[in-house]
Amino acid sequence: MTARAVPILLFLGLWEIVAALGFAPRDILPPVHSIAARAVALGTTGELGPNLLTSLGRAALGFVLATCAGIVLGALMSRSRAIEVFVNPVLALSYPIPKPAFFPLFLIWLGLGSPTHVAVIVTGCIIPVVISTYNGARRVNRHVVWTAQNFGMGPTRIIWRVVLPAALPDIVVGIRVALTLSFDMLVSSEMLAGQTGLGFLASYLGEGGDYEGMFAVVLMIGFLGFFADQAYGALSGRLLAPYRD
Amino acid sequence: MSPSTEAPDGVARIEIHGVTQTYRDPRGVEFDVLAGIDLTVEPHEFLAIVGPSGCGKSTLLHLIAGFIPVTRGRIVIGGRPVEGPGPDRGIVFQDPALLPWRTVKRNVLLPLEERGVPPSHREATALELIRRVGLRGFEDFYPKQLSGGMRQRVAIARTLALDPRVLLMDEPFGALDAQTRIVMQEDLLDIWKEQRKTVLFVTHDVREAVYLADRVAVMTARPGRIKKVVHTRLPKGPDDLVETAEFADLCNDIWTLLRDEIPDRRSFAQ
Repeated sequence: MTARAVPILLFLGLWEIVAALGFAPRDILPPVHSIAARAVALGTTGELGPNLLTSLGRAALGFVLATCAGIVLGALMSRSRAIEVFVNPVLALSYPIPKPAFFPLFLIWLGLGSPTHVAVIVTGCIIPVVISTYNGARRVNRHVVWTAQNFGMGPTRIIWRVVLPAALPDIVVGIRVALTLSFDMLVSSEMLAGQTGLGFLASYLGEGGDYEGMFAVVLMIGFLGFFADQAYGALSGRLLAPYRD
Repeated sequence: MSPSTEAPDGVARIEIHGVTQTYRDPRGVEFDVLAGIDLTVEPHEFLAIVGPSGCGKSTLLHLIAGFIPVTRGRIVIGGRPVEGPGPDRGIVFQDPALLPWRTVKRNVLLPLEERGVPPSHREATALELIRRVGLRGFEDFYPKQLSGGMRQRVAIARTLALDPRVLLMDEPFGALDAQTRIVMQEDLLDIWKEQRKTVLFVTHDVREAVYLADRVAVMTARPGRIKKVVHTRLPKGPDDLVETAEFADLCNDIWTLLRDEIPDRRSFAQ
């Protein structure tokens, strides 16, 4: 964690020096210290807090929904040939489409607001979870599944007690991708339309010529994602310790 | 249920009647893996099956366990026809197939939980079985922290926790080094003498079969048939058994039966 913070501090330091040298106009490349000061100001004026909370709520809800649905769908695909045959092509088709392209569709269905943003997040985040769960569940040792049958476990019980825990090392990787992606989807979606959230705030400030404020919000999004990923890495490392040879 | 199919202690007879197993190759052509297997393992008997690679000996075990359906013929355990997997038949594979996220104790607890053993009894039963396979002190270790032999001991303890009516063992020591294998064979024999469960033990190791079993069934190359069943239980203690001329003769006899079935050898001779 601390070792990872060093390159980031160096990068910010370099930014500060380059900005201070005055190669670029202050509007285009504001120095880091003034961005930080602007961030604090945004916090005290009350512009930041509510938008931050709204965005975190959307990201968390979308991420959790995508993770749960993705695990269930991936598990079902691994156990049922019919579901696998249906879902796989649909997944392959939707994979290359930028998920914010679905935004207008969700806007018509769900209206302008959090449900639409959450829907965009779920659409984007579910894919890595489904793929990793499906692959992990398919790779589970046949003898392990047979042993569970030998103990008298039924198909659903085997999925929950044996197949999914056995696939955990793969699932964890898919969820990690989804976690980072949830911030990506959130901000992309909020920038398209709406009056709330960090994505809205960044584009609003940028359009108004407040580049320091815009940089402050964008950097904040980056740090949120970074800390979420670090926390997740630490948690999953502990969870996966018994699996690693 | 007739008394002859099951001993009073619940240990069962394994009956295999005319079992033929047919598969399709990728082009859709059918071929037999097993052809008309008839075999009976008496309650409390230890029967080993030896055969060349690919003769279907493992398939036979998987059929008895109920993991795959039988194409033709009948398998009966303690008077009841096999219709699918079930805890009356305990199985041990060549790989221990343990759950890596569970400790030794929790791996052994799993079948007890599934069988609905009262929580108060589970713990004591699991600890006793772990002790019985020689792993006292390793209860809280994860499988990855154990050697191959120790993992296989956990797999055996876990299967015994089912308290099955018959034990099916599919080359359980095949992946272990020679020294570990010998110790495991001795320990398995000790455990078997206590519980006297019906055992069907698949191996490619003739010496192992003669050492462990009351009878050894020799299978032919694919499609597998029972070529001959040889009585092997020798009236000596296990430690000096391996040194006797009688033991060597039995191994030789079985090896002679088996040698003609090794596919590479047959094609080489042609």
